[in-house]
Amino acid sequence: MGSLSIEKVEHLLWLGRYVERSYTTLRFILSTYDAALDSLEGNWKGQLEELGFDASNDDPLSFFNNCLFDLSNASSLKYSMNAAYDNAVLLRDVIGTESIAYVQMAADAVDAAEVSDAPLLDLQLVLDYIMAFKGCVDDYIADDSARNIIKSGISVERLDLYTRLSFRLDRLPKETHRLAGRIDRIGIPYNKDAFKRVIACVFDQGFPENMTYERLGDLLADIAGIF
Amino acid sequence: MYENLVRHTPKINQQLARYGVKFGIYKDNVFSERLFPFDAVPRIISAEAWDVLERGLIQRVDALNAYLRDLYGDKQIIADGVVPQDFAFASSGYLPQCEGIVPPKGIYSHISGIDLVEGDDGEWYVLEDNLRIPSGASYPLVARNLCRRCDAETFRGSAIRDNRDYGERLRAVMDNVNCGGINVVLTPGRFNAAYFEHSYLAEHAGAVLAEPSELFVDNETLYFRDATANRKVGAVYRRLSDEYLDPLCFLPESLIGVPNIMSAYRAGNVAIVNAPGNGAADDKGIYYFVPKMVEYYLGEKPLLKNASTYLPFYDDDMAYVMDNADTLVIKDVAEAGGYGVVFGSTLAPEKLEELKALIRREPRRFIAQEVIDFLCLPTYIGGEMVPRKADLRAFVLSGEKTSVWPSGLTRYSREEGSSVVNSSQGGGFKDTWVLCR
Repeated sequence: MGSLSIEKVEHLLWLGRYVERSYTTLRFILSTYDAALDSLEGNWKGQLEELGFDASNDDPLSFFNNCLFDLSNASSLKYSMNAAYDNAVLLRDVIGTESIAYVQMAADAVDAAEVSDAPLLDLQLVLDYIMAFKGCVDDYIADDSARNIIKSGISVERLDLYTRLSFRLDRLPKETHRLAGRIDRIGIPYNKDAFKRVIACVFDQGFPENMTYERLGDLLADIAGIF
Repeated sequence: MYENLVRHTPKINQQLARYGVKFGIYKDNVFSERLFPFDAVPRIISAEAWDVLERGLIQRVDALNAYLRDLYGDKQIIADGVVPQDFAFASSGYLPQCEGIVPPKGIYSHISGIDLVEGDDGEWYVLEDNLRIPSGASYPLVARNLCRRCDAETFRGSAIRDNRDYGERLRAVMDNVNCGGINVVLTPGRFNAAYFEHSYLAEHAGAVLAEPSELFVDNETLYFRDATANRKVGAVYRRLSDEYLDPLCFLPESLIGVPNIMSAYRAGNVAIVNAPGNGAADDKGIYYFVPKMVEYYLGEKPLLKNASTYLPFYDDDMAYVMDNADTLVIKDVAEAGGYGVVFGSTLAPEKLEELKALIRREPRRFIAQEVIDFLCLPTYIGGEMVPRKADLRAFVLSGEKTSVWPSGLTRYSREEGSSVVNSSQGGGFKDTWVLCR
């Protein structure tokens, strides 16, 4: 492990989380928007409310615009992407200029899409740059610990979002398995009891069918408590 | 010769944006980041001209280092009357707290940024010495890589000296004075104007980028707070000003310093790059005496010229300044970054009289210089090639020996006729090509 302060560890973890939050939020919004084209009634509103958006707005275009670009909303794509950049820019000596460039370009692409007349089309670039960044994490970051912290952040964010949205719950075991393979290689302490409870929950034979709203809440709390 | 570079300037600037080549600026107390405009038409320095510049710069920085050793040591140059006591100790950069401290290997200015202009007469003139925390080496480093990708043929056939080893040179300078431990680049943080540079240089020198809260001193030793174990710091390239460096030694209200770092430095347990107190030698008032220092310490004739400078502190010079203020450039010695510089020719008569009265009241505060008609460089702005004033910041590195980075930061004014090239005031930058034959 190179020299990483607690502050840098935090930034690495949150870089992973915000990058993944941007990616999953955008994909979720794109698929939801597509469903909403045919029928604006339905569960999509409830799911987006779970993400923290105010779904009371009846104008769908305005609503999706806010989900994407409202900087005052901590759940919007733009907020998450800016937060990813704010963490990345503090890590140049750890993750390198080449890696940061993809976060920079993804943030710039969100800004460009905001003033585009086909924003959803242009937002594909954001997904592309985020994927490129994830590849960069594997190829450019020499410090094993730094790489594993970012990836752990990505995994924790996925677990959090999937649970929060009750979305792709069947993927939680796989993501938990990935996190288990990394978490002891990051070189920093974490809450082992919380992680054990997450493992016990998602590898339970009845998962995810037996999950009640209350159990999902407990799972979410344990995920949040890992770091 | 560089048509491809010119044609693709917008693309190169896009790539610079991709790599986050920015500087921060505060306007109305709001921080924002701006791209530093790049002009792909380079400044070209011939091998012969560089040879003179290189020797002159090494000579100048060696003399300045000797002056700092003397000033904080025996003070022989003052005893011998070469530099008046009034100037040496009245300089705001002189720090009595540094008296008697000898930095590792006696080097005070490890990284010196010397600002020069090329006059219409073909002579180079030194405008300013920056021995504290000179910025700007990172920008041409990034630009050179992009220009080489853009126009391989030009670079293949032009015998341009490679400048991309700055990170290694910086590392060697830090290793040379390292007192045992890791190398750290100390930044005040994200909202500093030069934060990009701090982080970029840390990356390329293989040093740890640290904010003050990540460092602490225990038993006169500086440590980096690692998440797993504290690590001793052997050399710190600090990118914050002297007065904020240690609240227990300098400004007590500083929130961005490292308490007791000066005690670790005084004990010889850490090298501070550049040494605190260097401002005593790069003061605009002390500038006047640098050619005399070269003769005094090295016994050599200065190879580089100063701009003709007058110190109103001396009666003869005061008289000259009063008679010729309308043709001179007046500089407030306490200001930096292009601020506090007034061209007498631009002032209305009553404003000029006000300035002259101020100079009479505070003669130590100002210097006056003849306006150098410095060379314009061809610059591509708004789709056409136009002449623009440009300066050069050369970087001199003092490690095992003193050397000059074969490149530099060429800054140009974006306004026609203007001599103000500072990035904070809208200036752009160019690559500087030093030819090897």
